[in-house]
Amino acid sequence: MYSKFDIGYYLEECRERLSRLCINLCSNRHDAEDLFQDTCLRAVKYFKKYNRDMDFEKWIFRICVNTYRTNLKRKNRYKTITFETTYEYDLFFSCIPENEHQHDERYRDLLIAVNKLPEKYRTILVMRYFNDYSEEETAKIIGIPKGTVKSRLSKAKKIIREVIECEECNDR
Amino acid sequence: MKNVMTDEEFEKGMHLLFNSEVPEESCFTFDKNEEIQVCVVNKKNFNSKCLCRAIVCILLVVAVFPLINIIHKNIEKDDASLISAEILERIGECERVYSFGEYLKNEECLRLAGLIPDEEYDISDAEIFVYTVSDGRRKIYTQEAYTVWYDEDGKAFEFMMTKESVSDEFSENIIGADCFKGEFSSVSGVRNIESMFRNKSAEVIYEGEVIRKSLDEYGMPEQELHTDMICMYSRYNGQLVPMCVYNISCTLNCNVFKGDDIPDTTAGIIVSENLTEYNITLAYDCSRNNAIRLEENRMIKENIWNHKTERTE
Repeated sequence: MYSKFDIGYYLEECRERLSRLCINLCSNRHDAEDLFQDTCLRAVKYFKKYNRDMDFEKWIFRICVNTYRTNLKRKNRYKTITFETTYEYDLFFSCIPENEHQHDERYRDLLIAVNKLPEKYRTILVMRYFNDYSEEETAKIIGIPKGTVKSRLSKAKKIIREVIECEECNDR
Repeated sequence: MKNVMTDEEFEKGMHLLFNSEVPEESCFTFDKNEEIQVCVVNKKNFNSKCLCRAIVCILLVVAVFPLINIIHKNIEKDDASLISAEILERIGECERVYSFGEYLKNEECLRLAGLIPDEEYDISDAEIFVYTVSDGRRKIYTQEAYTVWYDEDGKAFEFMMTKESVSDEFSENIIGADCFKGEFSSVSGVRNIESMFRNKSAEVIYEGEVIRKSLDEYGMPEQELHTDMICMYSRYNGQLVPMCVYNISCTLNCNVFKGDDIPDTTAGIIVSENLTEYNITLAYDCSRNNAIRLEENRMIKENIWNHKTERTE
């Protein structure tokens, strides 16, 4: 049984959302699990410094994004998504509600376009949508100005549209 | 044939892709003890004494933990993570075997020291500035730093303050000689130019050109002189180099070049009808005892000085 002074309590509370963030950032279950473990390890390490007036989730999500980026630079470890097996593809889309499966193809295009984004745009996009954060909340978690979030989101959408439309041109 | 995606479809798609709940069986679980062991084993330069201590601690946690629970049934101390945190703290202490000088050698160390914001990892077009604090005799670098990113035209477009600061313990150990060795020799070069400007009865020669004559010749106009200084890490020939950068700005209440050509120097001279402004920026490589002035003057970029003037000498 965990108490509120125990990081285990907090980690358990946000386990699903943290797992989702890791999966969305890495789009690869193996790397996502590594990221999850690294994030938790850092959180345990710095838990004493955690200010309990702050939202724990935002605190740990920020650690997660920073860990992801540090690892990305250090080891070039997390690569953008490529569904190497049918299992990975199915697993990812099994998260989407049943009645939406008819749009799988559409989302596949969208996901591929998202993963063609430069990292700084992609991370912002994941942070903005994975937990329905506002632009302001996204800015606070990542630690950048709100205006930057706004401009990067706008730029990201533009690139995605271009990629999808380009794909469509190729299909024709 | 596919249709173009509407805004609504885009929003819905993003929401479904990233915000759909992960099934319980697909969620991850944090295995604390396993991670601690991995952490210990992976430390390349890990002191064997620390390794033994950490393993002993882990064994103690595993062995003694149930006993603690039995003894303290009424106290919620069944929290392995708190004990794990203590172990990790100890590991962390053992890792601090380097001095701050070494700490500043590469980007990763700078990041760990909180001198590079977490936000960006690609700083190829950025420069890192470190505020200086003086406690009288010695200069303490940092506790605050920021990076500036430049666009293709060299204009600063984004300033990012660090969110973290270097601990008091670290800042106490940071002295000028550690990381900006040639600061004193670079200061002397700047002082020479300043003194030339201050000497109202002599001309100012900069880069072999007379950029200001004796003020008598202009009818003794009012002159304002101001120098800014900032320490920074900047990319130079592909390396992060500790630099001291100075900006000498001088304003004269007259046009000293009326009818004459403005000399071809890097003095940043701007003239108007009744005003002459000089903006001399000097960058020195301070990685060694004798600072070297860098020929490539990368610091004439907009906004930089506005953002730090209050914090400099």
